[in-house]
Amino acid sequence: MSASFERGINAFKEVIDAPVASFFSSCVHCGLCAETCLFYTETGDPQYAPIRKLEPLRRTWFQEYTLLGRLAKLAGLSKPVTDEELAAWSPLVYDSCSMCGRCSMVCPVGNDLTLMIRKMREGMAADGHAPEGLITATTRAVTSGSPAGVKWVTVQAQTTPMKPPTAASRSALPTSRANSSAASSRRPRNSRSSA
Amino acid sequence: MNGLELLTWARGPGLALALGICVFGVILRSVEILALGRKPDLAPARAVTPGSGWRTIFSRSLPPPGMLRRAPLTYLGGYVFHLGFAVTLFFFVPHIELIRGVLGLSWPGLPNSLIDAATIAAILAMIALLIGRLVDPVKRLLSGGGDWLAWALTFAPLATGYAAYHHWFENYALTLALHILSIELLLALLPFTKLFHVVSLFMARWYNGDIAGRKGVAT
Ligand code: SF4
Ligand code: SF4
Repeated sequence: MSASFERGINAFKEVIDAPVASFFSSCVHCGLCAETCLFYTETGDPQYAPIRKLEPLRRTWFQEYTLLGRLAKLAGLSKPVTDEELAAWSPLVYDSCSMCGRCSMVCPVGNDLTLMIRKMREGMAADGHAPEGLITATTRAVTSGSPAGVKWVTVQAQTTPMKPPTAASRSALPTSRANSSAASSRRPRNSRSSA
Repeated sequence: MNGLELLTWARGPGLALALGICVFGVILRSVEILALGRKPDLAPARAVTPGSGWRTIFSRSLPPPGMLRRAPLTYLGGYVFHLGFAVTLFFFVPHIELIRGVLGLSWPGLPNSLIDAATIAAILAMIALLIGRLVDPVKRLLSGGGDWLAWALTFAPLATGYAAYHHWFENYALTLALHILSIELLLALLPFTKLFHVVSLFMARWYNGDIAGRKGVAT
């Protein structure tokens, strides 16, 4: 078991609380959540059923937090969640949910599927199965303070008020007029933010 | 053991055993869920909506706008089955007698012809739902052993009860014994199968409404 996979499973275990346990206990596989999900209604592909997107999280709950599931695990009867499975689920959990919340408003037993998908993403991220772009943006946010990778000097250049051009610079630069109008239009924003 | 002996066992020790397992199981499963507690929500609530969870317990019983048309079989089949089953269970005079014997509570029953109609409706709805489950790609993908088991456990008491009431078989005592045993199996397995939704859905709906309420979503 790789370290990141163990982190992922631990994160799964951590996000499971009483609401999640009551949701998984209640699902009757009626399929109504699928009827609300644009990813299913637009494609007709049953793998986009919202409850289906949560299968690895559901098995973690069953195997860790129910007596029956624990007994089955001891007897070697349950299918453990694997790293490969989580990798295969990544497109379902990330790319196939817009967090619109429709499924949570319709499920007849009251499952908040959107909340569970959000929680599952926490485990997927800890496991390294978040989409590449999201991982890069998060790393950039942590290391440089900006998810888009904007450097501090760039921010400073944007926020430092420009000095009004002097007579010398005005004559030296042919575009000085444009510059000075840009600087003056920026000034009110700076004064507001410092106020 | 002949039919009569089986019936005697089913009515006495069998019933006590099934009820015991059922009560123990419901408590165990409820504790399993509730003991997990809730993670603190560090975000301040968007709106103060007292009673949002309680309202959702009731409001979720109705289909949201447009859904009935999208999934008519699931909704109508679901309603007819649940209502038919409940009417048969709670308003058939011999059932009320049994409940009075165990709990001491009783209420007026419905005429047998109405019970008969409710049972047939529930049976037909269950068959329609089973076919729907076999045919619909989403339901087929989602369904596993637990779903078929839950269906069979629920169908057996309806079918055996109907057969017993109409004296379909020579050996009435045996048919009745099988009917009671099928109910006892249902009771004993209820907490450990998908049938537990009869208890846990109240928690799930409450949490759903409470969470939505905190986010400022009207319920
Ligand atoms: S709508 Fe709810 S009960 Fe039905 S399959 Fe989806 S999660 Fe399960
Ligand atoms: S919240 Fe996600 S899973 Fe649910 S309906 Fe919207 S897109 Fe589908």
